[in-house]
Amino acid sequence: MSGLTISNLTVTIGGVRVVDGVDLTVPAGGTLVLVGESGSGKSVTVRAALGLLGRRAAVTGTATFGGVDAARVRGRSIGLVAQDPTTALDPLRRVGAQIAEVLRHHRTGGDPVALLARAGVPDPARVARAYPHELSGGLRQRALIAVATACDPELVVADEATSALDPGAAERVLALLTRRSLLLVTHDVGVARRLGGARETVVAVMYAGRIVEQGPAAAVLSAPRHPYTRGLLAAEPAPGVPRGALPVIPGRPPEPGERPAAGCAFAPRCALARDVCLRARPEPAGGTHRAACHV
Amino acid sequence: MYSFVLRRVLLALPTLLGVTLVVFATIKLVPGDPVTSLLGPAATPEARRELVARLGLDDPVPLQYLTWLRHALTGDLGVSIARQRPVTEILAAALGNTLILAAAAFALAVAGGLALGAAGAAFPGRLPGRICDALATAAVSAPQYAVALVLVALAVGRLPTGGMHDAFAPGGAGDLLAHLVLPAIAAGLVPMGLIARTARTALADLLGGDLVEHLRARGLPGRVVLAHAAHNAVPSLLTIGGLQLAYLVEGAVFVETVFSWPGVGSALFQALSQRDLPVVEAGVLVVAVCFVGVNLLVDVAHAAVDPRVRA
Repeated sequence: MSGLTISNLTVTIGGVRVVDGVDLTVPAGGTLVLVGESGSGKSVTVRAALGLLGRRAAVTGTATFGGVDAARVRGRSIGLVAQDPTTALDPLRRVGAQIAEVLRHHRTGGDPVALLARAGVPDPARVARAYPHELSGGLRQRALIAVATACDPELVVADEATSALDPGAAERVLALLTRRSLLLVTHDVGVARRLGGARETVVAVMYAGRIVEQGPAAAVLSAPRHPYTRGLLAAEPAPGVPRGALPVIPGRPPEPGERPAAGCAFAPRCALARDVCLRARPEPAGGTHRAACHV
Repeated sequence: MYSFVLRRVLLALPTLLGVTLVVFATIKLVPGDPVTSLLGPAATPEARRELVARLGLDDPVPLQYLTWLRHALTGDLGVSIARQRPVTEILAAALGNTLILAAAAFALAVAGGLALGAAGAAFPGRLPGRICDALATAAVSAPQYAVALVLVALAVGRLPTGGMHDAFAPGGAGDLLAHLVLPAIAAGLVPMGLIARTARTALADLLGGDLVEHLRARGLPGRVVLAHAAHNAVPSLLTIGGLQLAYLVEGAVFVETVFSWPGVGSALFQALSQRDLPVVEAGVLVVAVCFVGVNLLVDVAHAAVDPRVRA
């Protein structure tokens, strides 16, 4: 099994640096949870890695999978499960035909009905004949998973794949996705906790286009080193805690165009910020559990 | 799908009935007395009374409507006052000519519109794309009568600018085509621009959207992704294309008048200026029926392409 390695990935769109020198590794057979707020650049990062950004985006850096450019093996060795199955499935083609099309183009054998069954679809024969709009949200998500994993990819990239589902359904979808190497993009840091410790799980926290903290899930969740990660974890709802009582990180993340040119992008919102945080940009430091913070 | 078609056809029937009611009521409301127009102001009261009875004008209005409807259904639309020929005969020839012109203009509009729209979407923000966008906007904005007159001025001596009398006359296909070129361009320009702009917007939205991104993520080759995108642009193109076809069949009155094309538009224009009410009445009816018919066809085509519409 191969893992996905992203090195020094930088994406500039319209003169604005949206993703800035990102290094990430999805462990073979394990999970990388990429956490960040909307606008942090996490979705752009995975799209750039898969070569899905259009001409308007300038991408530097590399994303390799088993020694080859990740963009060349997408659909075959890397499957993408998008956030919204309503827009990711072709509304004019039957679900089964969409799976068969993928199989045909990658010259892989396979039966769409069996693949739907593998994705946890009850009554897969009916779903194969159905158009996407005839399915419920949960079924549509499973159908999309069947399309994305039709060629039995070694790695699945899931962008907020569980965000729109109720907790039970999200649990079942996660169980399906963790059969392979998984890059899970989410704004919900709690997902990493719910994945459990059955296999190697890495958490990377993204803020303003950079990775601010990265390390084994257990370490990051129990002993976060970056103030932003601590803020995210503290703001996680828990049973018994009323909504108003949750500590909130003051301010809001900077838009890609208005990120500070020097210093730490989080410094303006950080209670621990010192002079150095405004002057010099912190670089990731530490062994397997790395954080980019002066404090 | 079959039940959808059946339902649409059944729904079209009340629409058509409503159309006949409106046409009949409009003619009743139009000022002017058909008896005076037929007999002249100097007619004797006896002659007037006799004609009123013969035309059924002393019957109650609902009965008059039913009689008129019965005749219309059997293809009897009365006799032209000005030309003393059956209206059906006059309109059948005119409708044939209009359909030829509409088909030519529509073919031009679809071919040109799709090409301009696809090029505009393929090169957004760059010179070829901007030129195509500008051409589409110009085509939509150009007033039809002005375009027609400019075409006439440019083509004098090279292409016939009028003189078409009967599309089915023994002039042969070459003669028909030569006469068809200018009016087809004049009538097709606005629909072409509208189709171009619709195609441009639909394709650009699709190419920058989630569906195309996901199709590419599936590792499908570029031409397959494009085929999906084009397929998904069809429903919105059918909507605008159907409207334009209906509008062309209605008879581009300006174009037919400028190029003296003997279509429904010309016939209606002539009948209106001569107060030839039976022809006006029947002409409006034919146009309205065509409009309903084209809409029905578009709805069925739409359902054939898009499963979401069939429900």
